Amino acid sequence: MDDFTKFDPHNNEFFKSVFLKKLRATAKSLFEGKTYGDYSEEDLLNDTLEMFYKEEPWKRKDLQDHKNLGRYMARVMQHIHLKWLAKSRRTDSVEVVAEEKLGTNKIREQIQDLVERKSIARALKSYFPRDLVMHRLIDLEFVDNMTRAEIAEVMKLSPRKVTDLKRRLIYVVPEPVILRLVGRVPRQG
Amino acid sequence: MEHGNELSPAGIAKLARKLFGPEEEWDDAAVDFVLRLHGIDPDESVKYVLDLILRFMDRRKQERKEIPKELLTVFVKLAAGAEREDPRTTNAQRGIEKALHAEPGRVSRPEVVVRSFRFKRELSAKDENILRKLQAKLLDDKKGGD
Repeated sequence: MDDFTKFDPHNNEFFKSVFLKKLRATAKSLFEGKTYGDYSEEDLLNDTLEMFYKEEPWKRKDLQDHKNLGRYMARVMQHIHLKWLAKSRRTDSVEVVAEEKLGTNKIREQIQDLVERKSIARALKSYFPRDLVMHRLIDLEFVDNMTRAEIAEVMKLSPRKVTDLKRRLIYVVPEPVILRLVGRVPRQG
Repeated sequence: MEHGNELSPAGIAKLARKLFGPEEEWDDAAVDFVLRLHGIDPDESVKYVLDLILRFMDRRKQERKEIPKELLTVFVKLAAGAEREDPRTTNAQRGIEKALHAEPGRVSRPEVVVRSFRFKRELSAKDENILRKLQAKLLDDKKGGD
């Protein structure tokens, strides 16, 4: 939602873009599924909102641009989070401990890579709800890392049709995301 | 740890940073994708942000602090476009609209807003009236007894 450049504190699009999306994603990322006593992701969002109206950063000339303001608020959130980390005793969940116990051997890396690919595929599929053909293509492309010819053979489609499906994928999924994913999942052959 | 084939929130956070860099650098497309990695539809209803604002207003109300006018405008705009089953939104929205259009000098706007955010656990005007009558009756009885 970057259709506005100058921040207007009355604009609800900023809230959708920053508080509903960017800061929600940031809070999820900072918490990493861990718990800090009874302090939750929602509390972190609330404290960030509190800071937003206390400091009124949009009045600063360098932060009047919507993107800069979003970036600044993410940093404010990180700062509040760090303060909480220092204050409260961190309680790692059982999951995280178990993850650490797995060690860092090659097999673990391979498993981790496969699981990451599956997570990426699941996120990509959410751009195409109920489209089973696209879901299959995404699995073959991003999880099984197949070439176009292999995908065509497995899906019993012509290579041309596979190319069309891939074009649709690139058209629907935002380019910056696709570029990162293609860079991360190198093509074979 | 992975649950079967799924990454843990910590795993997703690591993957997101690997893909898009630190959180503050994420653009809108990256943010959308990270939310999808967490299994959240980024275009889901604005219920989440409305709840966030309501919680914020509630906290400010308890601390007897003024609610920023900018936030009230944002709330009204968001609530107008949202289909919500929670009657708190409709009631709050009505209260805010009234407060924003109140005649200046008649009653202070923050006061109107604070009043409009009363939850059910607080007394209604009817209950207050009943208590007032009871109070008067008790005082009369006490006077009579003296």
